Amino acid sequence: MAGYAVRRLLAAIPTLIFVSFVTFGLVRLAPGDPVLIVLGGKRISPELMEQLREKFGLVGDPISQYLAWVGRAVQFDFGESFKLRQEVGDLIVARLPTTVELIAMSVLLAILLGIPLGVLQARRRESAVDYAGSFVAFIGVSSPVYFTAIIGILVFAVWLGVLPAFGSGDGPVDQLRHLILPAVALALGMIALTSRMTRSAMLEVLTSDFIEAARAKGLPERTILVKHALRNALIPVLTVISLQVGFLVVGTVLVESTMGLGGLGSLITDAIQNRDYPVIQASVLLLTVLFILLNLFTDLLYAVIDPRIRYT
Amino acid sequence: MIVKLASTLPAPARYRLFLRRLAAAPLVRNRAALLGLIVLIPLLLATLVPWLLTNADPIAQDLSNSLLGPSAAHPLGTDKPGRDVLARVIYGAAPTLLGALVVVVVSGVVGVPLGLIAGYYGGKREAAIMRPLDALLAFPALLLAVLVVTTFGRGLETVVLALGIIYVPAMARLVRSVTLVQRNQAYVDAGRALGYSDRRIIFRHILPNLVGPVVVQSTIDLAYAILDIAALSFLGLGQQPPDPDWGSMLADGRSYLLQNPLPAVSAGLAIMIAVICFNLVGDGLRVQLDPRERGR
Amino acid sequence: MTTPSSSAQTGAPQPQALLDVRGLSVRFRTVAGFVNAVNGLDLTIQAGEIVGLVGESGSGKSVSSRAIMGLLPPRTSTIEGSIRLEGDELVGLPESRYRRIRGERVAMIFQDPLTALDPLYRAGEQVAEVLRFHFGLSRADARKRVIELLDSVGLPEPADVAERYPHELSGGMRQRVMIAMALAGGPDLLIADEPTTALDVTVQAQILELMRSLVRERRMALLLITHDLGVVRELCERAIVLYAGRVAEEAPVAQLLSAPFHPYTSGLGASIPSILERRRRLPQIQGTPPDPATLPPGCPFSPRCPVALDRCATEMPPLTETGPGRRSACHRSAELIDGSLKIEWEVRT
Repeated sequence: MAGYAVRRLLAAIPTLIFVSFVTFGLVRLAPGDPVLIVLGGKRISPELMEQLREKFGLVGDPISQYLAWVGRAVQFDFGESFKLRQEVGDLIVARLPTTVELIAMSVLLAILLGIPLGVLQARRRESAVDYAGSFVAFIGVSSPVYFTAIIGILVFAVWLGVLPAFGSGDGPVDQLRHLILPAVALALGMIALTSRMTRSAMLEVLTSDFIEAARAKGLPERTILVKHALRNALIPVLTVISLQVGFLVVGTVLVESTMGLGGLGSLITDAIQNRDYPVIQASVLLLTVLFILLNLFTDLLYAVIDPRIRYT
Repeated sequence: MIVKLASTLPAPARYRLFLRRLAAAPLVRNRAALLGLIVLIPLLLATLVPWLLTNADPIAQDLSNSLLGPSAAHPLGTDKPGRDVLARVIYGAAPTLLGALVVVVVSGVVGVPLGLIAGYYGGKREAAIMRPLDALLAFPALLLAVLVVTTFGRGLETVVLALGIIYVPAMARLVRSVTLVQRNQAYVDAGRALGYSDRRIIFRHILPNLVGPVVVQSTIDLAYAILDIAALSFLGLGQQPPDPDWGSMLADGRSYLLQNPLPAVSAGLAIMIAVICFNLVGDGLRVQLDPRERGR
Repeated sequence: MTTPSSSAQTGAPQPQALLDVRGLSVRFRTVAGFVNAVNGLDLTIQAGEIVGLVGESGSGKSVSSRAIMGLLPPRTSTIEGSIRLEGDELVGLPESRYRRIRGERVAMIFQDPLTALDPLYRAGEQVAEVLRFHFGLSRADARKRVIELLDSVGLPEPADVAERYPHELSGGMRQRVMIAMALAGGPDLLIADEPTTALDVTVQAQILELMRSLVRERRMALLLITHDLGVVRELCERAIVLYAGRVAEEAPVAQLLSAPFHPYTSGLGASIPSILERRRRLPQIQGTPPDPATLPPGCPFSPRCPVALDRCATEMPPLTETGPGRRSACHRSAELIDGSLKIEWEVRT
């Protein structure tokens, strides 16, 4: 198991190199001189211009620029924001907790609500519960997160007035309250996909020979459903969840800016508006690394669930 | 019919297939697909001939009529600069829907041949094609699109092109896996033994088997492309003001949500309805084209 | 939904059979209406007896075995008739009580032991859960018993096998694990659905031998479901041939093979390879079994029968006694009994 984890981790290294290269290269391909963006229209002397260039790591050939950037990036030094004139690393450290909490809450919601819902639907196939669940799931996958967030604001903040509409809140309890709406908005699509996949995977697994064999052994229904059917069904469900991790990472960007949460996502959206390249580069890189790590984690989960994987 | 089809399978599978065939009908799904097709009609009209659906100008501002509620003149009210919301929703269909179509076409035109070559020939050609495509999948798709679009300049064209390329790996993977399955069928070996050219085998035997999965995937991709285009223009990267567009309407509407939620909600519902519509049609097609899905 | 048969029907006071199936019919609800998969099956098995249930796919043999095990989907299937196990009626039994019967009194093994074992659990655990649920054994006790069971089905190093996952075992070992699982509850009746079909030929013989010796040792009855008369010849004392959900013929195996009283049995028998006659090609029954949704009004075999008469297509032949312990459903069985009708099976070239 540990060996498998290490192998998977090593396999992620080329991907990380590729990702860093693309992230760096794309921004360098942008037309126009980045320094002009920093200046924002101010005129300065050529000497000062050269100083700025040096400061933002824009001197030398692209390859050495890239190597220097990567060299600093692994030490979590992403340079200074064009716009905010702060260390990008500090900005990210300040914003990261909100984003991680948001993602964690959504994944938790998706697992705790999506899987039981799917199991229930598979069990009561073609019942009112099943149809209602499918309908909600359909709406869930079809609604853009930022729209779900807006509807959430309208219903729970404006009409019912039970939850705060915008902002991050003060103090742990208030912060948590502020996270509920965005987390639910972000989770809805995942809950929908998870329950859909759980339903169909359960239906598939329930027709397998080993389920019939388990029934023939006279095992109680609960054992058959949870121990044998659900654990087998979790394998494809996990695939769907891991595919949705990317959606989740992007979803935070959209939800945070909709709900005015000060996380990594809103840092990116602001940076996009301002063409603040160091911030864009660093946060895209970081979110992508997060994405790769989450995928790695689901791969390891596979191996925990399915003994056939560990040995191949 | 049942017995004939089933006789090639081992007994338990046959028994299960038998039971599954006997299980209740997929009528509900098909009715849903029909609903999707019906909803598609107004969406298509809005995309192609929006002027037939409304007389109002989607761009003309009228600051004296800012943020009006619904009325006979403005069935969905007006937005902050006093533009007719209904007209903007109707005219906003084209960039999103046509854009999504282009995304899917681009991904198909690039992805199908790549997947076909990778799956059919395998070996080095496969590695040369699939490795970079798989690496592309290491990025969260929309985030990569954000990066590309901020680099090469905002606007619908960049968004659509970036998404088209980002959608290639998934399409190529699908085509590759279907091709691989077909390639290993006995009839392909038989064709080779008879000296048929690769071209003939690909065009006569493999392509026809690809049509179903590719059509289904494309329809579902349309739904995703609508969501992604809307998301990018929500971030201000797509269609630029003052041109009407669902995603940017939603973003604008957000700032005066508490005064008049209608512009944001209308745009959001439009996106949702379009996505549901293509999801329904895609699901229906899948059931229709894949007999294994029936009765599930 | 279900009609338990009246006890008056059971007739003469014979020694109570282990399993007594009377007038079993199974219908499935489908999109296109109802499909009769089994039509009025009668079947008795005495304690310790080995009976073969023979038929092609769609003959209703698998469905019948599932009906006995209570494994048919309750929402889409309807069972009529009576299934008695040592006198206890099983049809209409609530699920909670049926659960006690499955595993403890009737157990089942399946065609493909790879798919019939849950890939995610060790072999030992899958045997142990039967013991824990049915007899409330502790984990430690169950473990000990599991190793004994694995040993009794001829698995070398049973303690090691118990720790392995199904994909780490060979086909024959997996089927032995399945058998150990079935034996765990100490059943009086074992139903084996094509137990050797998915196995290598050499392993097939070993598994058949194992089943034979287990049945003798444990005084357990065996209902062997197969399409292969060769396997029936190896193992069974008596066999019932099903066709389109009906009994075509029932007889002691030796007689069934040497002097079949139904053209279908004769055709099946003619297609068993024999070591003595080295014919290069074996005869086949032409055509395919009928679709259970659209059965012909008369004898379901008549479209494929080489000696069918006009009335065979319109009139269903009743199942009649054709000798001691023999029954057959054919309008021409009398001619087959007295030997005036000989069936020549075409050898397709």
